[in-house]
Amino acid sequence: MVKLDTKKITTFGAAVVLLVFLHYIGLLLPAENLLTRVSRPLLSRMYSVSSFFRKTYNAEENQTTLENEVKNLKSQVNNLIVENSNLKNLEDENQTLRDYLKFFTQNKEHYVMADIISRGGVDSDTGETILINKGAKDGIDIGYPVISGQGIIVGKIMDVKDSISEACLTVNPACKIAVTVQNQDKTSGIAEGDLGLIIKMNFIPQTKSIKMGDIIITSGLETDIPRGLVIGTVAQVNKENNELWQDAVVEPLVDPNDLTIVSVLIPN
Amino acid sequence: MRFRKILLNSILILILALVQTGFISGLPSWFGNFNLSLIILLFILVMGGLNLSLWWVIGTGTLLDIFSFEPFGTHLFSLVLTIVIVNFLLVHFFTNRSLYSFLALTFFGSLFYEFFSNSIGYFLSLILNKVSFLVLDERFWTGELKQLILNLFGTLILFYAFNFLSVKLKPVFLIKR
Repeated sequence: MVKLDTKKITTFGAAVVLLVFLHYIGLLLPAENLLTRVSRPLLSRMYSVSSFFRKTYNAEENQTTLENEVKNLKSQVNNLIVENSNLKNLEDENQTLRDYLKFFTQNKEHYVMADIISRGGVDSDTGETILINKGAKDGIDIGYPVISGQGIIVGKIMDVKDSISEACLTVNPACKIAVTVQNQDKTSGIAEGDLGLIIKMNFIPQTKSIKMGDIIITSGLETDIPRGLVIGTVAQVNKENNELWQDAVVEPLVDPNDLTIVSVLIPN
Repeated sequence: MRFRKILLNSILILILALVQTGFISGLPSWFGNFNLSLIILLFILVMGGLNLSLWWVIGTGTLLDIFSFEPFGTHLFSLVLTIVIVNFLLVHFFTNRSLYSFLALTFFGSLFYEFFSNSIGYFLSLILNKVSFLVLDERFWTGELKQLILNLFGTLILFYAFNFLSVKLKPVFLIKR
């Protein structure tokens, strides 16, 4: 019969307290960094394997709605082609004007590419945070934007260790980003995650007009997040006449479940 | 011989922590909630004794704390407290090694672990002035329930796997002689 051993439990308890104490005074840091660096490739591989299962599972689930979505997307692509063409004309005009006025062109931002090695935590049921295999030694710091392959902002760095970092996804309620609507009014607001699925843009003045389909971009008001990074499109507008503000539901352009590689923008 | 045993256990602890952090967290839908590390530790407690399980707890808890961004000590303290309480239940109530005992221990172990990890994580975040994501809304409780169900299911599978490979476990129903 198993007996309760108070002395043993007290000894182990003391060992645990000692370990935690050694961590907080920094003595364990070299060992932790070494362990993290050695484990990163294995974590990346494991996450890739489970991502494969996740994508296959999600693909099976979404098959029934894919046909309708394809139809809508085709129509959207056509509209975007036209818009792209107009934007290219504007870009050329802009460049010409800059040349004439001899503006200095802005420096290109630096990127650090990183693999996602984990989602959430052991006890996280939401997966609204990701762990990436790059950290302070790669130039990453808190507040830097995390973007997908197409340059769409998917989150923000919230904590950094030597070789790994944690980022909150845009659908995370703790992830707040200063944004602007790409419309005539250039309406500004704060975008924050809701329910782990969508983004809500809050504090929009009642006098401003926003409509479904408007593109939401970063406003550039945050120090480390440049202007112009696309977050998503307006899916719904909630406007009550007796409220001080209106809010909009923003659908992210990138499904967080599809992410395996991201980039972190390093500001100059 | 003793060195080989320590090395083997260390490697297994590292594999467990890596699988929990890297593989399970990326699984689709429900399955990402599965707490494999807790289930394995409970099995080790029952099969290998308190001493071995506490060593595994220190190793697993430390690695989980290193790989996560929750305040260091959240997983360590939570696992130690959970194992101690589950050991108490094992000694005084669920003394046999039947499936029901395992399921009951997993049930209570999961509840206690979630309680400790959320509370300790929250309070350590307050002390260290870090962001805490603890929001006790419907999604939180749904997530906890999913994890509990998955842990029980995982215990069921592991129990039968052990039963197939070892004679140390009793069958589902206790036989009265």
